[in-house]
Parts: sequence; C-alpha cells; structure tokens
Amino acid sequence: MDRRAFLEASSLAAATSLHWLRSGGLLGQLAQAAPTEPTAASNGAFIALVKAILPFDDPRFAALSPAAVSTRANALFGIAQDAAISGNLAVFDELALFASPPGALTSAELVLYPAPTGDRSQPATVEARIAADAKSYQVLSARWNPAQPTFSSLPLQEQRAYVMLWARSDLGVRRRFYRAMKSLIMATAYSMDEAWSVIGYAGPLLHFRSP
Amino acid sequence: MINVDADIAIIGAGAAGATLAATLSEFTNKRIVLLERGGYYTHEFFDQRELDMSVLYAQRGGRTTVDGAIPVQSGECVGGGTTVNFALCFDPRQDVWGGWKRDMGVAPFSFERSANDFGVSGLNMASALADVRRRLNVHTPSDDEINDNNRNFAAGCKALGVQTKRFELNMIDCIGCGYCGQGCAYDRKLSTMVTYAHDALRRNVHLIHHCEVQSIQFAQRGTQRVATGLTAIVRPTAPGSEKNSVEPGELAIGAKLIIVSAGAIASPALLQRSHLPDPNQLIGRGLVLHPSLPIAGVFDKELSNYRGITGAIYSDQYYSSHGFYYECLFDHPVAAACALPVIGSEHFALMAQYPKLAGFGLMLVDSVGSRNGVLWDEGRQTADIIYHLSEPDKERLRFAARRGVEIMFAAGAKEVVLTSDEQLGSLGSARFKNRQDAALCDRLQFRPCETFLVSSHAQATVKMGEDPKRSSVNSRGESHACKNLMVCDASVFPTSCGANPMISVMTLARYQGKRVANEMSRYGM
Ligand SMILES: Cc1cc2nc3c(=O)[nH]c(=O)nc-3n(C[C@H](O)[C@H](O)[C@H](O)COP(=O)(O)OP(=O)(O)OC[C@H]3O[C@@H](n4cnc5c(N)ncnc54)[C@H](O)[C@@H]3O)c2cc1C
Ligand code: SF4
Repeated sequence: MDRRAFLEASSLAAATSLHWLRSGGLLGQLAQAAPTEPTAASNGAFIALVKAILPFDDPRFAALSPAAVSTRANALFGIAQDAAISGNLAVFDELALFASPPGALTSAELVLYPAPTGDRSQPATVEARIAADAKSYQVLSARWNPAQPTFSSLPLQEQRAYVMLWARSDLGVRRRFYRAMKSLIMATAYSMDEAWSVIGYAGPLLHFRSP
Repeated sequence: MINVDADIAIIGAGAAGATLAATLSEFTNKRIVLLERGGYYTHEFFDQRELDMSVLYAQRGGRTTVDGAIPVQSGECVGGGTTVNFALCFDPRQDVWGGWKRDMGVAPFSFERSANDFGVSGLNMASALADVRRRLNVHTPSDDEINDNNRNFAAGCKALGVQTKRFELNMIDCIGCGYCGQGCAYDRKLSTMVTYAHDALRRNVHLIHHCEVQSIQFAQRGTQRVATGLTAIVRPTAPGSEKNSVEPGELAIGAKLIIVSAGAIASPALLQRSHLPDPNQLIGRGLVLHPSLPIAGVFDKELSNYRGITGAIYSDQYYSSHGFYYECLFDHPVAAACALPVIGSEHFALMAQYPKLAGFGLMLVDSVGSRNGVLWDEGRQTADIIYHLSEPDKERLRFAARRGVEIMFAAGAKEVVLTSDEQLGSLGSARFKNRQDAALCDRLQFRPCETFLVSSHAQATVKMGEDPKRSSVNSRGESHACKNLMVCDASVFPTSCGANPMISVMTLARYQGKRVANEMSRYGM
C-alpha cells in the first residue's frame, strides 16, 4: 500500500464511534446478525445528513459540494458499503421510529447507558427516556407533512431541527449516533484543502501535499 | 515464530518506556528489548495534517469511553504521548506525592537531593527530575514566543484578578508552527522519540516497533509466581515508518525482568489479558481522565491562534479550592469543527470566523471513582473504558465553565462558546452573548455525547501502594502477585498526579530505571 492510501485507510481521527456503528450501533448486535444490504434509501439519508450538518446553503461554502463530501466520506470511512451503518441510517431516516424506537435500539440503550447511580441528569428508565423523546418529537413533527415520513424528504430547516432532536435526545444511543455522524462529516469536510480557504485557515506550513 | 532472548523487556516506548530503556542502557550492560505497538515515525513523516497524523494516535484517534462520550487520546508510536503532546511541563507535585506516601504507604520518593532512596546512592526524585529537565531542555518561553491567543487569555484572567503563569516547555529553538499535536516536523519538540528513545538506540537497545504484546507468561516456582516472557505480534511495517528490526509475524520473548509501560489504558488491559492474579479486582479500576472542556471566544479582529506555541499560559488559581486548571490551547480545523456546538449555518457562523477565534480549556483533576476503569473485553479483544463523571466533579466543572466564560468575555470576546449542544435556559445553544449569561453554566448536565469533553491524561489504573488489598504494585512498581514483573507508567499513580502528567511519568521512569540498575540481584541478574 502506498503512503497516501495507507494514511487515508487508517484515518479515523475524530470519527468517534465509527467502530460502534460498524458493529451495530443503534441496532446493537441485530444489525450484524441480519445485515440489511446498503440501499439507495440509506445512501439518500446519508447525503441528506451531509447537507443538514454542513452549510451548503451558505454561498461562502460553495467550494465544497455534498457529492464531493459524501464521496470522500465513503472513501475514508466506507459508509456506503457498510451494512450496519446503512441499517443505522435507515432507522434515523424513518421519522415514525423516533416516537416508538425499535426494540433493538432500546436494548442497545440499556447496555450502553444504564442510569448510573446518583446521576440525576437523565431519566432512570428507558421507558421514561422514550416518553420524553416522544414528547419533544410531537411538538416538532406537528409542522411536518405526514405524507412524507422520512428525514430525507423534510425541508432543510426541519431536517436540522430533527438532527438536533437526536443531539439532545434523552436516549444516549441517539446522542451518540448524532455525535458519530457529526464528527465523521465534519472531519471529512474540514480536512479538505477547499474548506480551509473558506474559513481562513492557511493550512500546513510545510508546503507540500503529501504524496 | 521468532524467538528473542533478553534480560529486560520493556513494553511500550512512550514517556515511561523510552526513559527506562535509555536509563537502563546507561547504567547497565544488560540486553534490553523495547517493544512498541505503533510505528517509528520521524520528522519527515509529520505532514501537519490532522487526519493523516491520526496514525500517531491510539485507535487512529477514534478511541472513546464505551458510551462514546469522551475521546481518550494517547500516542501510539515511538515516543507515545510525547510525540503528539503539547510539550507542557509540570514538575511532579510534592503535595500529591506526599498524599500518596500518607494514604498508600508509597515510599520513599524523596524530593531532597541528598537522599539515597532504597539505599541507592544518589537516588531521589529531585535528581531524577533534574536529569529529565536537562535532557528535555525544559524551559520557559520568552515574551516574543507568546501568541495572541495566549495573550488574550492572560489579559482576561488579569482583568478578573485570576492569576496566570507561563508554562515550561520541552522544546529547543521552536519555530512556533503550532503543530505539536501532529508531531514536530522540525525536531524542535524534545519528545522521548528524539531524546531518550534515541539515546537507547545509540546504546544498542533492541527496538521492535509495530509490535503488539498480547500476553505475559508466568511460571510457578515453588510458592512464587514468576514472569518469564511474553508473546507478541509484529505487523508489517506501515509506509512512512522507519524499517523494523524483525520480520512481521509472531514473536516470543524470554526475559528476566518485564516492565509494562504501555500507558494507563493498555497496561491494565494487558495484565488482565494475561490473567495476572488479581484477587481484589483492582487492576484497571479507579481510572482518572482529566476530562477537559474547551471554551472558545469570538473576537472582533483576527489574531494569531493556530500559529505560534499552542499552549504558553495557564492558571492554577483554582487548583487548591476546586481542583482544576485553565490551560491555553487551540484546535486545528478538524478538531475545532467536531467540537464546536450544533450544525448547519449556526455551526458555520463560528467556523467562518476561524481566524478570529480564541480558545482555552479547563482541565478537571477528577476524583477516583471505583466504578470507573478499564476492562479487557475478551470477546471483542478491546479495552473498554468505563467512565462516569461523579456529581461533585460535575459541580466543579460547572463552576469552572462559568468562570471560564467570564474570563473569555473579560479578554474581549464578543461571544463565548462552550462545546456543548445543550440548550441552556434562554440560550438556544451554549453560545453566550454577554457575561451575565455565564450563570447559565450552572445548568449544564454533562450528559454523555451532548457536551463534548476530551481526555488525554488517563492515569491511575494499576495503582502503587504497599497494601495489596488496595494496590496492584509496590513502591518499586513490582507486581504484588508476581515476581520479575514491574509496571512503570501513568497507570501506577494512585490518583491523578495533579497536573499534566508527562514530566511526572518521566521522572518516575528515570527514578525506577536508576533503582533497577542498582538492584539487579532482585531480578536474578
Ligand atoms: C494529544 C495529547 C496531548 C498531551 N499533552 C500533554 C502535555 O502538554 N503535557 C503533559 O504533561 N502531558 C500531555 N499529554 C499526556 C502525556 O503525553 C501522557 O500522560 C504520557 O505520555 C503518558 O506516558 P506513559 O508512558 O504512561 O504512556 P504513553 O506515552 O502513552 O506510552 C505508552 C506506549 O505503549 C504502547 N503500547 C500500548 N500497548 C502496547 C502493547 N500491547 N504492546 C506494545 N506497546 C504498547 C503505546 O503505543 C505507547 O506508545 C498529552 C497526551 C496527548 C495524547
Ligand atoms: S510549535 Fe514548535 S515544538 Fe511544536 S511542532 Fe511547531 S516547531 Fe515543533
């Protein structure tokens, strides 16, 4: 393997929790046991997520495109090829699952985020966490068109609101999914030279592009 | 299977391992092997790009606590953490070592230069520290080396009557590129890669990199359990690394003394993996992380932030009352983008002002909790890091965050940002528009993954002490359960060492190295 390919293949920096997604993520071990083939829908959800997380609606960000970022994310992190990640994206895309999450997600929650004793920062039981999520979802989704039940089909501002619902969810696995996706997409975009000129970062002092 | 016979095998070529290898080769003529899981990368490899240089980090920078909340960073290369760290130097804190002597029976670790610890002439912490400081050129940077980001931080503190100090740094003729975190491309940072590991190699220490030690072997001799050797896997040499000294494949090493210096996450994991008897289940338990919360400020005009020495000023004003430090630091774009709150145009509103951003971090000296620790997961073959902030620690973080926001405003920021996605009262996100709002920090919940905290100072997982019921190794670093097995790295601290750990770790390694060289007969040599 040449140096460039090696560096790219092993560049998981900040792609926190990628290994967690790969080994099941929101769906726990289930995603591994019953791999769903990566679908056009989950790819669509990923591109929609890229657009929600990055500011392509801002003209200053025109040096980058959603296609370039998702192609690079696939090259770096193998998103599209990975069945477990696709399964997670499918759960994220399906709006109705926010109020009533699949059983696999709640068992993943129980394993990873038991309520630590003496911690008052989140509801102790998973049922209470789901109920709290369902409540915040209700407020938001009242604005949405029930005929279009997926994240990918929401208008941009509503997509962003939905992503932040995950960021502030009472379920730890949802916050983790958000953190993982955000890190992965940010790391992909802001490691591109094109992004550096946008934000006014001059880049390395060593004036060579690594081979 | 390659077989290697040695007198001393050192596992891990980081802060402790490299220092031990250099010290033991300086004072003995024993055959020493130094085994490092990562590659041997030198200045030509360091290209100042965050994603590329993640190969220098454990799990490519992707290692976190099991709940995904806190990235637990450490170096994985020759030099270990010292290759990628910010060169911030703190002498070992005598108050903390005094506490360990009192509470854990740790002894003698004298800080008087005249002391002869363990009956070894000239052995004491003061002289070990002096050696390390000299080899690493630990010094205070001059006025003209301080960039705007550090200056602003100092000014903000001053305005509020918070005392600041200048860091000491292990650098020589630093050009201020600001890329310490990606490895110094100019060999100006005196990491152990360019100092002690270099010395060790010159004295014929046998370095094997790309070498992951899998387990330590024991034998029963009478009533005594004795460490006799280890097995390891040598991976093919990655592009960009120096050549290796052995072919890839399985490796078996026999040694008279085995020293584990794999860092506070990997050392307990290796001992658990090797089934070292641990009747009280202490190994791995009581981990501290120094969780750190970045604080960013938006200024009116551009300032030097990512160029110049990253960390030059800190404040320990609240160390004795609240147990935390403010330390000036700044992130490159990838790390900044991952940490800054929210998404979309609101996130970009901050990124687009990158040259006008200022940053410093608050570093909590966290308390030991028995629920926190490292657990080797046999099935998945990974070291799980289990960590929950205690309520009192959260309370201290809230106070520190609030004061930090005030300092950033006092420094002249027009907006102050915490790396949290929480909605704080009237604030849609943790973006503060005026100083009065700083009080809203009291509401921070620190739920995992919602507020971004980061750790690069894991410690205290294989604690030293004289009571086997409360510690895993004695003051010499020797296992309570097994002869000829030592642990020497950040794991053996009974609690946090109370500051950034590098110099404390290296001083300990220099000290133990000199001791072992004078106590060879203890190990049958
Ligand atoms: C980004 C960053 C910035 C930091 N900044 C500072 C700072 O400015 N000042 C400061 O004082 N401290 C800083 N630190 C912390 C400091 O670097 C560490 O505390 C110190 O390096 C710990 O020393 P150690 O010997 O315990 O472990 P390490 O230095 O981590 O060395 C352990 C070595 O063992 C190797 N290893 C692990 N497992 C195995 C195995 N199974 N087989 C073989 N080898 C193995 C690892 O690859 C590693 O190289 C920073 C750390 C990081 C990550
Ligand atoms: S800031 Fe100085 S020590 Fe750090 S990488 Fe640059 S030249 Fe080296």
